[in-house]
Amino acid sequence: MTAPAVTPSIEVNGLNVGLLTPAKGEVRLVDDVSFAVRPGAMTAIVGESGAGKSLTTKAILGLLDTRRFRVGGQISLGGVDLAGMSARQRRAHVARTASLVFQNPTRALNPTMRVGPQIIESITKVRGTAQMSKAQARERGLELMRAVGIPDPKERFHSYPHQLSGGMRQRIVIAIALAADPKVIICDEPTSSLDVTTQALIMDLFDQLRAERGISFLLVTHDLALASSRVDDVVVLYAGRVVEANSADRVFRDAAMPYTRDLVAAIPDPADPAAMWQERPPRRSAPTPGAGCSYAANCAFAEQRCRDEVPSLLRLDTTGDDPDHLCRCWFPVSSSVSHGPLSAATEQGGS
Amino acid sequence: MTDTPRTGDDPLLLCEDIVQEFRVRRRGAFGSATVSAVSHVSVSVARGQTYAIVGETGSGKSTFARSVIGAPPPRSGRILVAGQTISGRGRRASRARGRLVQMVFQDPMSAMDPQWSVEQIVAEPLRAQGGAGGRQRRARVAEALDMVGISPARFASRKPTELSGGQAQRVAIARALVVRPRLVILDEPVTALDVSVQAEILRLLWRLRRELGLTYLLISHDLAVVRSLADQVGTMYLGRLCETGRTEDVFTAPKHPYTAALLSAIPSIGGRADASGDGRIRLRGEPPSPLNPPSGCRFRTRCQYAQDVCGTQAPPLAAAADGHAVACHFPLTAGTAAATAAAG
Repeated sequence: MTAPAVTPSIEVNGLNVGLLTPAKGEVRLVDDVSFAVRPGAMTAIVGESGAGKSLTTKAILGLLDTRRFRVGGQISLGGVDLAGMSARQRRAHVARTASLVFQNPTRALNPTMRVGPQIIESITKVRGTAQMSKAQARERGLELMRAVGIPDPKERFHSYPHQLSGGMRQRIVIAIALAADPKVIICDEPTSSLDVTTQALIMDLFDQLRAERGISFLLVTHDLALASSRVDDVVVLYAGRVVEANSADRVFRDAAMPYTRDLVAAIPDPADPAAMWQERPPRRSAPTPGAGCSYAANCAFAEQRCRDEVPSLLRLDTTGDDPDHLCRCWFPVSSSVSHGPLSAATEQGGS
Repeated sequence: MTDTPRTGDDPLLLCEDIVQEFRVRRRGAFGSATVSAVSHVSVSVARGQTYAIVGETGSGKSTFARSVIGAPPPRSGRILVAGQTISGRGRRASRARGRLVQMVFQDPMSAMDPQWSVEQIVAEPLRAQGGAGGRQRRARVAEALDMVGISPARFASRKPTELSGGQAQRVAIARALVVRPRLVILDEPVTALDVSVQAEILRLLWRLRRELGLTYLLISHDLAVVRSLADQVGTMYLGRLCETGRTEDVFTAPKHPYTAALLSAIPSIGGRADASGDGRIRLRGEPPSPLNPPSGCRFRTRCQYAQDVCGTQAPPLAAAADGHAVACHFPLTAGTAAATAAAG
């Protein structure tokens, strides 16, 4: 039961990314990826290294080098299809509607420049210097610093990045991302380099920006617990394909694709730490490209069909009980994953 | 040794009153200042057990671990491993350290020389100690690689860049084990790895501890990892130990407000943690500078329960009968924790 009238902020349909190699021709790294992010919502793309998470976001923003990558499929940002645009139009449109927040705030900021001017730089870049006086730009910069929760913005305005803590630096990066008044913010592992306490505060800030400004977020992460507890929808990527998608509260609990289930099982379960220590067969091989399901070689349930044909991403439950659940598997598993909550703190915290 | 929480009868690692300080030059100003990185920390770990230290960036957990391997040795205090003092600055202490203690680092790739082969990397601690001839050394390397599930025949001549993340961490563990140490320090051993590989490495570490009778000192901010591997846990804040005890006790009934805040910040599968609350305790502000830590209890500037006494007196680490110790004037009880959770 998805609301029909709302135009998604990001819509990706059948996205393909191929790496052009002289030896082997085109190697598909992202294959038929489709998902949508509603306005003001947060969708997470989860997966392990090499799953194609970052390539997907780069393809959306048009950041891939066209000499090395071929991008196919349909991408809309802010309700506008990017397909018909020239490279220049496309760049302008992406700059107006979407911003990117990187994993490592230290590397995203210029170490030789005070943070205030770095924010102003991105404001004037978008608005054009003609439309705004220096004082206005500065005022807007301070406003953005307040909006991302930096205490004493007037003082911090003149700080260098190294004088700020990791959490404060990430807030500056987010302030820069907000300068263009984007409809969409794409975050690539925005909290991986931060402490859990700081991570929680940054996620709170994202929630606030969603509520107050209606900004949509696409979050790329390998942290299943973060995805499960802090976003609306989750897309699980494996070897360049979407293998499962569902609302965040159900995606791991009701996982039907064996890969997702194995991923959840790999996280230590505090309710039963000893279960972790049963020896399991190790991963036999890397994802298998080409014909068949990419997880077939490692899947406990794989049959001949899995090795021969790629399954399609299908709505699992047509009766309406689990409406958003998509799964790419010939033999989806139906029982719930038996895995307790991760920490004792949340067990108590529910009251 | 009077108020050191004891875990078993035979501590393999005994750290008494460890202090680590660094002098830093002040930018623009005259003179220098002292960073109090580790302040009077005492830890005792029984043989075959795992002790985990958790805390935020800057809490001093890594500095503490590094003082155990002598990089650098502590400014004051005493460290004993298997009854031998290893905290001195002399050559004798340094040799004992190399034989008894080894460390596994967070990022295996950057901990290895990219030009060396796996065999050279694993053999390096043996070579540093001397005493083993070429053939014997090769046998020890093969034995260590076997233990971590890396085939010596297939991998001995490979370079680090030809290894996957999980294989590289296995090689790093083999390098730590090759000298047959008694204590292994694990500094974020799985943080840099993918979830499925993390599980394999954790299982390997668990099996090695059992088979070789190893003792682990684990530094981690991944509390799921801590919960599964550690028998005992200590939380550190600005260089001080706030709370220590059996992992299960600390996780289910934290007594220090900081531990409670840390635990409640961890996201979990199936749990919702919006800004609206559901029992999450949010810390106010940022950790103060270790150059100028708050007087009394160092956590008081961010603590919602802080009173006047917290500013004047540093609370001692007081242990209950079950070994669960907390350094707090107003430790949480089951009642206060529930009240906080309800208030949001």
